[in-house]
Amino acid sequence: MSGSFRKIDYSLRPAKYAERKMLVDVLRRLTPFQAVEDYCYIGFGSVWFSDFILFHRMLGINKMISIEQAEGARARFEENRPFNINIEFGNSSAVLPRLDWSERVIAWLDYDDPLEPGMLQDVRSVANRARSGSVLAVSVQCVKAPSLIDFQRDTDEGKMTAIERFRQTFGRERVPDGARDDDLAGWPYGTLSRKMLITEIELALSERNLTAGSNLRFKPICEIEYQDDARMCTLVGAFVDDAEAHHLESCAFNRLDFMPANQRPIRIEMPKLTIRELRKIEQQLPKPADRELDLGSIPSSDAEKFSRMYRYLPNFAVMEI
Amino acid sequence: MSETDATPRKEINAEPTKAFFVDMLTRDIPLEQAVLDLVDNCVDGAKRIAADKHDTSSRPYEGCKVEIAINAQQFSIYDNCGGFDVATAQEYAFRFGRPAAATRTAHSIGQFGVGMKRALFKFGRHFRVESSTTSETWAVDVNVDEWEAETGGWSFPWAEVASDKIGLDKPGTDITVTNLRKEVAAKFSTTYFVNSIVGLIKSKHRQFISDGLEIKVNDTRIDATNIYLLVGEGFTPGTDILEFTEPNAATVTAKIIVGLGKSSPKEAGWNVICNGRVVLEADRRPQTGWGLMEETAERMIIPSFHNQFARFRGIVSFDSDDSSRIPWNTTKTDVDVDSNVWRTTFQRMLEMMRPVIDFLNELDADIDENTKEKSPLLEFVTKAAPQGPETFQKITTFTAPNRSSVARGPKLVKIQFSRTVEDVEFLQDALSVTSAKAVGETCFDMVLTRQRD
Repeated sequence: MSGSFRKIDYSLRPAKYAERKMLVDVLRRLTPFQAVEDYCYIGFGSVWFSDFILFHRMLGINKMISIEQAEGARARFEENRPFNINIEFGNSSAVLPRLDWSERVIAWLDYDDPLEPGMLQDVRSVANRARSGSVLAVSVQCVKAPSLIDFQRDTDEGKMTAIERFRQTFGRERVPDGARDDDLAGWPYGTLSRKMLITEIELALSERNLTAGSNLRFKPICEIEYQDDARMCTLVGAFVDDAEAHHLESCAFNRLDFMPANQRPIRIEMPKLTIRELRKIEQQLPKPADRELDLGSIPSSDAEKFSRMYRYLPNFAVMEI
Repeated sequence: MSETDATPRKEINAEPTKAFFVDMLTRDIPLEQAVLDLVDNCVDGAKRIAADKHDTSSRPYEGCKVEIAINAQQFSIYDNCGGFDVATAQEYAFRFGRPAAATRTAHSIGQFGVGMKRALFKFGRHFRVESSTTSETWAVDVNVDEWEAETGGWSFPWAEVASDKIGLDKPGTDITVTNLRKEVAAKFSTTYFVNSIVGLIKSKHRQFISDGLEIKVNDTRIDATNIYLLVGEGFTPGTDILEFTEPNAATVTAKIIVGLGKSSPKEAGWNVICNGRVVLEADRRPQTGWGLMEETAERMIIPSFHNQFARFRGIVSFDSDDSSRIPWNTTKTDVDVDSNVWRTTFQRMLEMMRPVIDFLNELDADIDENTKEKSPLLEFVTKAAPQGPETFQKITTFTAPNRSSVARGPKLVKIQFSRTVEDVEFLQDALSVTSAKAVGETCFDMVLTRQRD
């Protein structure tokens, strides 16, 4: 969240765009719990509010709260607010606890940075409060852990390994015993980050259940890996208690066509194809099971990426106004 | 009717109820420590096996293993470390407190006669202990609710042996606790708790693991960590060995090692090890000397811990055949500060840590003046080789170079200044460097080259 709105135009990130559209399809399926439009959406809207625009337009969500820590640019955020969105200024760690959690929420903690202890604190705040049927999505950057960067910069010969530094940052209870230095960069780092988020949610829920006599669990729905400039990953899951577990079953998230088999993360990869090529493949989609795609000179790996998630990929055109 | 006419009165009943006893017993021990207590019992088994074999190799516990499974439904711990015979089960293993006549494992770590019972009662309301030596097999099965409800009868019922993990041909012990207490089940269900057990075993039982004992938690084998101290030419840790003898009592030896390790704030401090079991790990409290004031003069004897001491490593190992002579508390979470053995050792620890602290202060000053990249003293330290504590057997004092004696380059001065983020980022981009520091250095070097030209 750290002032990245000054650097990145959120609307021009195609993989992120696809992720948001996939999330729309995931959230659509929440109806066994309640009408989706009655959920409250909590997000980090920045000045672009791309997720808010999409969720309001596509899902009809009316109650929207954007958490914004850059209080200095207050006026700019207010002016860019596309709808009647309530902007709560302050750090997420301070804002999350003061929100109203009595209704079901969809909270998307869409961080720009790699996992850090403060994010685990945020996740705990949500897990301590969200009621059954609420959805939590968390996105973190997973290029390279700061501990690995420090390690590589350190010129000391007998220096601490990167994973030791990482353990000292988070505490050894939070980092799986088998984690090594090579878990701190790229997609393995994303896997580790998601695992740690789940560990933290589980921990908060076990304490909450004990004091409140509840039996809430966090059920992962999907994990998404994508890359525009930096590698990012997202964990999406729902809080559900025993009494509502059957609602979650009824959501049938696994019927979404982009859900990979065997619990693997969804990997959003941008095919590099010309408009003409896209059209040629698109004419053959959805593909009947018994037919192969007629590709001509189109590279099959790009065609495969495209046909796997063409419904979610953006169509770009330069428009001069 | 006067009182003297009455039949003799029944004596006043002061027998504790079982429920009260169980509650008292389990109250003061953290759940994590209760798990470690059970592991300690397995370690004592491995120690007996090694002693019987007169194994003096570097890995005396090779072949001994402990397997722990923790989840929301049950806790189980199995070991192949020799098991207990029926007489031990009858007379000692389940007694609350150790009968005076009970034999002790020499150099044991599970010495207080409460560990196993305390852990079992702490975890749940139903436990089953099965054990086998090479000549006897037995099992005990206790439903705690039923047991508590029976008045009198402080005994546990024998049961049929059901575990296929143990037998006369595979001596060992298999313990299962079910019907877990609600708060225990909640903790056992989390990855966080399992990770913390793994981390604790890794550090607390590190010596036994590196001596060959195999410990698995939920099917993950735990490897040991070790503490390393840096050694170089004219650079050695301080080592001292104290002996405490008393007539008719086993001797206690205390070996103290102080020196430097790699810079790692969370590993820095004192480690106290009792008969091989780590009791304090990287301790930085006044109990081990940090932030200790001289009472009369209000002068600091040893400063409080600060990150400039991130290389400090201190190790105290107490060893005795009679573990009750060792200065640790019953939960093995701290030292017994009132013990005479501890107090004498502590004074020596303070004396020995002083020169290391002084050296670390010098090192800090040298880094401050020359930067981390160019400090000659730091370079000297980082070139030193790490060695395990077992290599320091001789009594020596801590030796390290002083600032004036290490080779120095030209005198340096540190420059520090601030500019707007916008300008710094602009230059960072223009000069294609990755940090604000690099912007400053590159600008300086460019101007210097130009001006010198």
